[in-house]
Amino acid sequence: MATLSADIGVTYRMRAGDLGALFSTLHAANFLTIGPRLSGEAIILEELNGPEDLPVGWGDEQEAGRYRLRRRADQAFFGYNLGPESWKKFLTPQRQLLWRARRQGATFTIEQPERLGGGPQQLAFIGVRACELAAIRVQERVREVSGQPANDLIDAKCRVATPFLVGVTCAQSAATCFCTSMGTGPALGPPGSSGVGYDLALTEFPSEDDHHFTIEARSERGADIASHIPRQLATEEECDAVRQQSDTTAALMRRHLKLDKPAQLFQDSLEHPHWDEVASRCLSCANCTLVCPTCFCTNIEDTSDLSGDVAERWLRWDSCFHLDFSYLHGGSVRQTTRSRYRQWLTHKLGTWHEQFGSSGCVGCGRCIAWCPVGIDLTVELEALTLSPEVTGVQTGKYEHP
Amino acid sequence: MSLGLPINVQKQVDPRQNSFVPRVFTVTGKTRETADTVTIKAHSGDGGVQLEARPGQFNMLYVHGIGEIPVSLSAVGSDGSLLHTVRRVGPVSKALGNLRIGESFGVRGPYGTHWPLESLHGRSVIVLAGGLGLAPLRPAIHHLLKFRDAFGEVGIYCGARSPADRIFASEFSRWQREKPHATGAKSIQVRVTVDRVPDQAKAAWHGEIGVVTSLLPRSISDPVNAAAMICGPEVMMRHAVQDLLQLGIAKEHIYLSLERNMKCAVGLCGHCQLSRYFVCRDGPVFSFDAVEHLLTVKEL
Repeated sequence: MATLSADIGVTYRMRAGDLGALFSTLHAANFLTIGPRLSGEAIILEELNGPEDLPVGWGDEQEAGRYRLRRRADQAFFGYNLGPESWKKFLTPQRQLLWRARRQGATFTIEQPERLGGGPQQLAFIGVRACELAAIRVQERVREVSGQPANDLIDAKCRVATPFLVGVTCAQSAATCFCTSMGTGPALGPPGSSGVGYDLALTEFPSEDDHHFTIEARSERGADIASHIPRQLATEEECDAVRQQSDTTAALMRRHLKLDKPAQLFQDSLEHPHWDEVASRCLSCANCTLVCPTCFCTNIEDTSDLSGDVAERWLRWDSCFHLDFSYLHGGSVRQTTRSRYRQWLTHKLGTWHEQFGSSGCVGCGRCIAWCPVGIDLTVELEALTLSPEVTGVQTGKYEHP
Repeated sequence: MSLGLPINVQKQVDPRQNSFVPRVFTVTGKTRETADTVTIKAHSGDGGVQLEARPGQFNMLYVHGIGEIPVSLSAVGSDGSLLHTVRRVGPVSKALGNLRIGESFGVRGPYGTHWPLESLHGRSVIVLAGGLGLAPLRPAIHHLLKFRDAFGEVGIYCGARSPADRIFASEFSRWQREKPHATGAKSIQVRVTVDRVPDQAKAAWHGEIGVVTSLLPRSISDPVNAAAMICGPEVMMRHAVQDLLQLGIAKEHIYLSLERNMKCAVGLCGHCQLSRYFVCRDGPVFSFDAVEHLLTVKEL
């Protein structure tokens, strides 16, 4: 195994057959490797033992309300677009035990799960796309603004601060993608340029006779890991090809989101008749918020065992599309689907800026693909930013594509 | 394969290290305010530092095995005790109301913004409460009494459904009796109105009947120099604001305490969002000019 040191910011060439070295090096450094794999009829994020667990030769076809796996003509490891799951599955797990309380006579005592302290549970994410680096940063920002010390979320220290991130350039976009509109991709920029800092940048070139990657370290520890992977300096043409790949992906992107004044969206659209039109299609199922890589809303669940002596508090994902989400004594504030969709969209694209200094949308398109009725926020936004007369909603002329 | 956390619960937690973990308080007193409303007095059972709460702030109260709800502090005792006034409407508030002296419950907080009393020095003050809305205003009233000389005229106007639904009624006369120390300042005006009086109570009721805002026209003599603090049902507050504006009180001197669903109380769970605000963190006390545009839109 080559042990020549790798330099940060230098592009190397790596044979596809040596991808296993990345996994074995990470395993040797005590990382649990997590990345895309086939499960059922989708590509989801799970633990990976090695490159053989990646969805080799699989791609997908996506449209509003549609996701289908497709065989590729080549043996690409990363030839798919985003699946339904985002990395928040690991960074802010769906359910977390916050504490457990035991009754002791008239009072009770509270105990907390031991925090994980690194070791074998350190996570390495393989195949993080540019828009997902942006999404991870957006969720980090939410926690920063809330002023919560990292240890408030049980495992924040190990899972938020230190996952090893291996970015992969998007060689193609799904029809649902619009990262170019949000400035989050498809190129893997310098660390911190549009997302969270990361460790390694991979770009795949899956031709039959010369299947290879370029690999570039973006951090010290990224360089440490890369130094154990067989590689050689990339030629100028190979460096250019990395840029060309993301340029081509960007040029072929079909969807776009246009919002010149996000700060105005909330105020200007509150009583827009188009909310009623969306609500007539929206099932209020919450799929969009669950697949969204930035949606952060949670609920606190207090439970007890049958004896009533041991109670637990769990933090779990919640959604602003649920009727109970805004529950107050006397009835929920947002009774209608119209008001709940309005809350979601104006928050995601508008008031998020005021709260956290960026858009809540990174352009990943998951909410479009996984909406069971194919509601497309880029289309809805266009209708909302046009005047009611232009959309023709009031006269019934507006037709959803 | 499991990526779940090992759940070997062992370590005792220091609540000050973690904002999701309540401190344990013990009930040391209970006062029945109305048929369904009780004030619970509690002391910390962990020997920890006293909670430094400002008037208008709230705590998250947890009953073992039942759940947690936000409750405003209705007073802070000089001995560090906390007083919360709870109406028994849901599982948690009922369980809180059922706690006996000596039993414990959890407290996280205090959270949220407070009535900006220091910045109102020199002004006349109108306190407008609807129903249980008097609870978060009571610490502010205690401040007005304690620092009476720092304020101009003070008027306290409370609305209740019926005479039997008034809370803190036994304190009203003390509030009214409180004489200003400085010469020339007027006594505090305390007036109560009820929506209706049951037949059997008619003989004993000599107060007003009608909405609480009907008390405003005969309130203070210098509205231009006045500020107002309001807490009650949102519809009542909307009407009250309009009447206060008509009296001549400036938007930025009208404060209201809003209510939304709160779960985490630290601006993280998203439940209490109102446009750009997290009501738990940016509220519950807002100046009217900050939320004016949000109160006229339904289901926001």
